[in-house]
Amino acid sequence: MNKLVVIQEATVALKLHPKIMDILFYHKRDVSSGLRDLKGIHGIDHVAIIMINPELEISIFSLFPSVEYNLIANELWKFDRCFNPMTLEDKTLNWWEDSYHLSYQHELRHLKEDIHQFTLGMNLVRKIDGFTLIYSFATRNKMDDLKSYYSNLKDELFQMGDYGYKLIRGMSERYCYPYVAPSLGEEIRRRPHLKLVINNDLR
Amino acid sequence: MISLCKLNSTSKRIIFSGLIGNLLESFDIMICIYLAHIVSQAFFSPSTQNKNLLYTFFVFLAGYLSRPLGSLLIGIFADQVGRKKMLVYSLLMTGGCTAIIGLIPSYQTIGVTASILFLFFRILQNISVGGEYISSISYLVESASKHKRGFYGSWVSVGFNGGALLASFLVYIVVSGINHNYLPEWSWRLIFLVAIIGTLLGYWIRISLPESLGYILANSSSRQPSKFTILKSSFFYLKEYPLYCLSLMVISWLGVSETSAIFIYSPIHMATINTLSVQKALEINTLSLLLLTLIIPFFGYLYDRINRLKLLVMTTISFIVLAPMYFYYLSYGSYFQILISKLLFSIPSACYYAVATVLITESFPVSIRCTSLALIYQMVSALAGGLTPIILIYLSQHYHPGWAPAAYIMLSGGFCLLGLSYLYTFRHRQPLAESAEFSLIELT
Repeated sequence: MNKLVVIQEATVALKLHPKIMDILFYHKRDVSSGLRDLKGIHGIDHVAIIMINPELEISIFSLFPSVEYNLIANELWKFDRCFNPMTLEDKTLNWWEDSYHLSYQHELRHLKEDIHQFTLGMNLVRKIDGFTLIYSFATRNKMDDLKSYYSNLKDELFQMGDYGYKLIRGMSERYCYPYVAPSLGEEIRRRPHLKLVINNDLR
Repeated sequence: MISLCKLNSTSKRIIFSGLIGNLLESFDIMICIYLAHIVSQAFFSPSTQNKNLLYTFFVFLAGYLSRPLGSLLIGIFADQVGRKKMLVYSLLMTGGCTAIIGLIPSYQTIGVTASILFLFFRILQNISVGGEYISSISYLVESASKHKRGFYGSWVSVGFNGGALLASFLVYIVVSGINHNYLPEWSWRLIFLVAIIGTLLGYWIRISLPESLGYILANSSSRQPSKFTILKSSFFYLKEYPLYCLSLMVISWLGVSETSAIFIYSPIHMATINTLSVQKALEINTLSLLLLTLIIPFFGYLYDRINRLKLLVMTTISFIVLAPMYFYYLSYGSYFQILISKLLFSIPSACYYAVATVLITESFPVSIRCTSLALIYQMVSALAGGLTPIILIYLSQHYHPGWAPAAYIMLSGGFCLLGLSYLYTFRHRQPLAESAEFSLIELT
């Protein structure tokens, strides 16, 4: 299948935030000091919060930005349903390995999991008034029954994701314009938007 | 039940962080006490040589009194911004103050400024120590699964007693070195500087720890409460459950008073009422402290397997039964009789440290846990810790030295049993220990 067609199929109108590299790396220290609070709980080794605004613009706040950077640099994120809110249902737990497009699953698995020695990755989806928050967790544990272990902890993982989002919400505000990053449990608000209108056509 | 290697390594780090923090805290506080005779000569005027030791003890008292304040301040912050951050700050503050005390120039060099700096940093050190205990016990209990809380929490007491042992050991070595001219006179300052190494190690461990799971679950989607709301909610809680809180207070009282009796007052009793030398008295103290520290985790393990209230009832009855024998031998017994009775008394003490601290911690809702602990546990600690030695000295001087101090411990034990019986009936009516749902929002 033509690569371009696949991209069109998978991504629709999704786009990365124009300052995605800044978001990933410029705030690395702040993001890391926040999300580090979750690292180690229930054996979680990687945490990222993917925020998709109502205009389908993707921002990523990651404990280890290299995980997401590899996908962006190779343009493979478009073939990973982890980044596509249209294919993800609210309040669900999805495994990374089930989200890869069949044509690129080996590359995606290699870049996202094998390089970092992750044995299992998962996404938890929370949709709040037009925004989609995707809590992305990964572990390096090597037990066989990891999926059932984490499935049983779904509610706690959601709460951990919510807590992580609370910690980085201030930072995410800067990249949401013209929206206001949603507060959990609160209605989404649109920031008062004043636009200067220049009309030279008045006679 | 899944047993993941990775989870175990995180668990080990969590336990070690609680251990090292309290070890350092106790070490930092105790080296000052053990070195009181040297410190008093260094930081106070040589012209008041006879009173310098007394002045030093006034500095210790000021520090001791400031501890509940620090505990409350740090407790409120720990409930607001999380346990982990406050654990890091309290560790740095305690270790920093200790190192600075070791670096303060002597009175002969900077005059009265040395005394003032000593007082200031001792108070600051105690403020952070007050916060360390409640934050770390909450952190360990909240990081453990429901069936491992006793074992996790018990390591706070292991650290606390281990720190006292380490301080005693290092002070013994350095002071012996100074007395035998192997070490220069100023080398006592090196013990204070040891705190820097411990603090850096503790910082490295704590900064990479996760926040406590209990705190995360309780605060995942709620807004961060204001400090005033937390304080108001804690007072509301005390007002709403006065008998419950009073029960926890009498349980705390027994623990603090028996600690004072066994480790602070007993060397004085052995040396004054009995004719044992101070060195022998301290030797017995160290041996019983060693036994106590070693068996605490065992009782923490039991806490998770046996009915904790029944375990605490048995511990309290042991105190009541052993107290007369303990004080009788302390007054009239030989070295070995005292040693045996003290080692025996250490067993219920270890059980109390493992069980009661975790039980009291679990009794408060997560959202106001550190503040409530500060209000109840630390206030009682300051009061009982300060009053018990005075009461015991008074009783042994004015009444029978063998029975009268024992009567005080037995009376404290009796009140503790009443508190435990109330707790038992209350728990059956309302499972308050799991009352994480206690909502701050309802109160605002």
